[in-house]
Amino acid sequence: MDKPEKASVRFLTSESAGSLIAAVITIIIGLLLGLLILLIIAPTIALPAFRMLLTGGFGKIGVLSGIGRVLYYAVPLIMCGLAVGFTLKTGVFNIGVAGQYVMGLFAGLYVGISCAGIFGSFTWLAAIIAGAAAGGAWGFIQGVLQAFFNLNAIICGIMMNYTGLFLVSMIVENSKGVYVRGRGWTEIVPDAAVIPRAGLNNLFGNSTAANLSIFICIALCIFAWFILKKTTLGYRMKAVGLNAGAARYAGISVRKSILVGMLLAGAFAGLGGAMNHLGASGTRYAITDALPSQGFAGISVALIASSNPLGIIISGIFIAFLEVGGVGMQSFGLDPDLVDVITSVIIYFCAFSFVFKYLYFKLAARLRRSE
Amino acid sequence: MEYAFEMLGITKKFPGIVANDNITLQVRPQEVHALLGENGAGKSTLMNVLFGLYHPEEGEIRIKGTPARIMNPGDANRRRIGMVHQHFKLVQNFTALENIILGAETTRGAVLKMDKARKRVVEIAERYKFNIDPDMPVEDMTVGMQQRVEIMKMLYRENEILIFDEPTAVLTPQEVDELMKIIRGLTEEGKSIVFISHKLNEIFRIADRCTVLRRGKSVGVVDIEGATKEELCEMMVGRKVLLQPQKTHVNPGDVLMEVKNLTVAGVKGHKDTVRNVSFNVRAGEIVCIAGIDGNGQTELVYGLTGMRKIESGSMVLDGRNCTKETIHFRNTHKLSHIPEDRHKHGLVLDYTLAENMILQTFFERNVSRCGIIDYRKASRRTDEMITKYDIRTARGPVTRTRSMSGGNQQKAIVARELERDFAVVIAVQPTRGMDVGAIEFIHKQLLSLRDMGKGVLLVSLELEEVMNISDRILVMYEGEIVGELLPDETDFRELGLYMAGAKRSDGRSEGGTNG
Amino acid sequence: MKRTRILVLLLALVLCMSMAACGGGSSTGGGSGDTPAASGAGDAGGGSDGAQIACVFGAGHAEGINDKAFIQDCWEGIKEFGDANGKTYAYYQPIDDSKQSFLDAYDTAIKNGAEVVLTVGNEPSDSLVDATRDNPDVKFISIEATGFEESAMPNHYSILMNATDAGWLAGVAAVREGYKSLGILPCVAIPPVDMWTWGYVQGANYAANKYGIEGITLQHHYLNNWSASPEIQATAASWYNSGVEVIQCNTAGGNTSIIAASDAAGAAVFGSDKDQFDEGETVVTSEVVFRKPIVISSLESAYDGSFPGGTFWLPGVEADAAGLAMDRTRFKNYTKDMYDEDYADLKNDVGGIRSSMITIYDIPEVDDMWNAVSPKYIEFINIE
Repeated sequence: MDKPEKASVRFLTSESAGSLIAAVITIIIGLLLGLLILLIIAPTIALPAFRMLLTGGFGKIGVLSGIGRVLYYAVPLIMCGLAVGFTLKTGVFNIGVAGQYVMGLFAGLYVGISCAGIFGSFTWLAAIIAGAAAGGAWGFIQGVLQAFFNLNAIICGIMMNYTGLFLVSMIVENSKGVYVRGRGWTEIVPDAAVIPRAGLNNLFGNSTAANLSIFICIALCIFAWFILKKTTLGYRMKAVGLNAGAARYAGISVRKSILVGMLLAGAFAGLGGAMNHLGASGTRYAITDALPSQGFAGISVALIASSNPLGIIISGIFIAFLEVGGVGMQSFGLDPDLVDVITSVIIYFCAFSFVFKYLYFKLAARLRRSE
Repeated sequence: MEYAFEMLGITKKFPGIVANDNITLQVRPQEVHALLGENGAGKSTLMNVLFGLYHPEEGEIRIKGTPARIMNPGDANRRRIGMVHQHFKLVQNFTALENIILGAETTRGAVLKMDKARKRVVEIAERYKFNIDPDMPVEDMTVGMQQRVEIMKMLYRENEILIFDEPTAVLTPQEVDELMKIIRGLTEEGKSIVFISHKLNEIFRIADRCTVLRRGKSVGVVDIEGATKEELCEMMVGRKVLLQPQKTHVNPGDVLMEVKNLTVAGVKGHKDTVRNVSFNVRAGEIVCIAGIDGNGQTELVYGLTGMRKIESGSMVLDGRNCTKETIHFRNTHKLSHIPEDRHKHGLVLDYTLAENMILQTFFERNVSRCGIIDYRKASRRTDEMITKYDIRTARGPVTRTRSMSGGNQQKAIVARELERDFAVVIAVQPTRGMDVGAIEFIHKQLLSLRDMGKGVLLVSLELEEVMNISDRILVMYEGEIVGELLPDETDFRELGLYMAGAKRSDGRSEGGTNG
Repeated sequence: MKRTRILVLLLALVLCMSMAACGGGSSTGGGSGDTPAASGAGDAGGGSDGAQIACVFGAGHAEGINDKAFIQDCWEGIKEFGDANGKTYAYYQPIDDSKQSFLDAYDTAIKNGAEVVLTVGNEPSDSLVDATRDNPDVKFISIEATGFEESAMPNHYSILMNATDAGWLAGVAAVREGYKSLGILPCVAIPPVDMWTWGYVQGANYAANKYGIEGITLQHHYLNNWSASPEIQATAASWYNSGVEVIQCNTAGGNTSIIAASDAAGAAVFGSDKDQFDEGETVVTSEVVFRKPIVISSLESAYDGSFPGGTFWLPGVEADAAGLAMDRTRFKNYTKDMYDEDYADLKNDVGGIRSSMITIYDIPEVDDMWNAVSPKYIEFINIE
């Protein structure tokens, strides 16, 4: 064995560094591609429009206000990203994140609206806990189907998505006091159920909606990272995800890992749904048969960050940033689809983050060996 | 004199390592030339250079005196170089004929012309006295037959230089004899053979000369006639090696593991089912399950370790009936297991070495507390094992296991399993892929554990190993134990007969006195 | 080796694309549907910073200003006004349909120079309360928002098209044309949408009574979706299969899906919001409200000092703002003369048809509508 390595070298060649660098490269290349598309299709306004996207429109709406907005919209993205990324570590692709998100937002709204009397000023807390519980239960059911009945994870997830969505529609429609007939959406969220602003309104301006949720998100990401990196639970989950055969050989229960993973993932997604709808001044839920896009955006968030919970904080914020910039970009007169295309191309590129990670590690290995 | 081919001053580098360092290999026509070396010595790399898969930084290749540049396997083939790999490259549900002509099909337009091909194949088979049925699907063939198909592939392409990479790994003694005869025959027909192996016995049987590689350099070329095994071994390893481990006699103690009437199901319809097997392992003894691969050993081990359900019968370990217990239970109650497939079961390749070393113990009190793993402790323990077992890694405990060589991965697994607390260790092919030096060490470890009163259930396909270190040999054939032999009282011939099912003992197969 | 890598990358790309396409519509999720790929800078004028007129509509409308329905209608009005009067304009679709998102969108628009904010649809309703209050210098025109019938801020002009009139004419036309088995597929249970239905039912009822036609049946189902989707098409197809002869669409972007089902079944369909004659071969006519002229006139009032802030307007046939698209139809029996007759009857309130019609002011809850309308001459099958 050769000489011990410098700490800097050890960090640079660690998993986290690789994920981080891959994420950054992914994003840069994606942005450049977006610019290229703009230049080809709308050369006259390409640069200003791109600048709008890059600066998140902060120039127009003010930097603080912009940051505040980004931190508000990042919440569901980060939570859904966690929901996907965490289970990816157990080797399961949780496409059911959208359904878990809907269950969570429903439970959050329901408790928030109906139980304000019981919980008083802590209604919001009860509501988001209910959201996490509902999402967790929904994820758990999916886990049971996968682990005990050996059903395909993707099929399970998609079916659970729609089942959850329509179940929620059904219950909401029949909930007096929660549903507003003739309007197709839920009641206004009472003040007690709105998540506190935690001083962020002083920091970013009263008009922005950033609130306690973002802190909860970051805390949970750190928590998830800790579980994966340091605990026996994380060890088990990663082993199952990387080599289920070896995990079994070592006496690790593959089923339990999947169940716990899905339970936690569902809770993350559900919490994301609840926090999204109980933030700001509360968002009504309109009955729809379209699955929430945040669920699927979560997949992109997770992939860009290579499922690393700390990276998910960053990629979630990044995609929220693109969303905010995208609104401003519309004013340049681009075809509405084009704005979607550009931001989507950037997100599509997340599939390539693993390529960049691979290349980075090869390069790092080469550098290391030549020391 | 003109050589069949020469590799002169070949140097091949990879980032951070010189795999071949100025190696010269010269093979005479009609000679069997052995290439001997430990794992990682550079044998495969050298042959891959010859085969066009790698391009050397320095050196040249000459074929029959003329310099040749081999850019890819197509080139190699055109220059009549062929290779039989250790892991056969056969399509399982194709027939022998289809496999042989694959890649060299005779066609008119886009239509296959099989008759010409068939005639040639039959011709070649007769000439070399291979009895293979051209229309038999490969999946129905024995391993020996499959290997002959591989050889036929080379002959069909009229290869003159034939490379055999560890050919005897999967053969029974009888089949090895056959192979030796075939190789002799091939040289008589004018072919030149390169025989890569680390098994000294075979090299001594078949080779004319031998080039020894060590750590990328050529250590010397030896005429087999007149050389000794010890000499070659020393050249290969760089120090004196004990080929025959010194076994002291130990009186076996209490029964540690008792297996009664064990039946384990195999894959549907496969003959691998374990049927009504009974035996025991006592303290201070190494019991070896010998047999041709695929006769139930795998399922037996799965049943004993809990990886497959035991249909009927019982397994009692350290006084506890483990028949219905989970894998986790068995692992934490005195059972260690060195698995057959190190990639599928033994390791999580994307984990670091330290993480793999705690695979069985991560939940124990001295590795983790309150669910939080102390990786520093794990690292330290891993360092100890790296030193003790001479595991070669790039970066110590944080090496990604995937980047380690097969032999070192195996050493890591063995280290992990032998350094735990166990009464019986089930070791399946523990020295697979290891070189002589490492094998020596592992055998020493197993013997010392046995001397300390542990029990070892060894499952091995290496007859040398079986004979050298076992105290008792149980031969498995088609899921049953067909014979119990003592190494001092039997020989390879007899073992081979039992393994092939040609002989059975009618006595019972429970060893020694029962408790 | 290299080839496999490229293949893997391609597969990954395809996988990612299908993932992104799965989501519902928000401005950053992939939108589905058959939207034309218009040239980038083409459609919305004011291609640089700053837009004086801002159009804001809900995030759930994936096709946005190309939805061939009410958003497009309003947008064309804005364009026409802007181009004629030298005002710059832009649209802003918020990130989602929450009140906060709309407020953020208004904020972006206003900071980008908007003097007039024109909202389309019902989703902005909540946010308009705050926005109009907090931005007294900006004029808000809301088309199809609800909740402002009684009062609005002085800078807020609330307009709700009287779709009941158009619906009534469509119902009459359907029955007079000879269809017996009728269907209605609206998107969401909100007044701007339900008004069409109430009109349709009352119109069909009136015609059945007046012309003594029996055996009319009606089905109704909320789709809960206003973008084109295969689910909508499948629902419509199953209706046609079960014998429905004509479906009245009312689901904005989703109309094209219903039309596609009708074309495939060789049945009949009535479009909505705009003249959708060209959208399919079986589009018989369309029940329309003419938002464009309304938008234009409201914008004019915003700039010429006569802005009727704080008021609510329900323009219908009395302003010639509602009717059927009769320029091109595929009617076999219902003629333009017959239409003109019915239109005049309605406009002139012959026999009190119009004044006795149940409209938005009368119904607090949808359920009651079906009772209140209680069409005696139509049989309801499957109302949900």
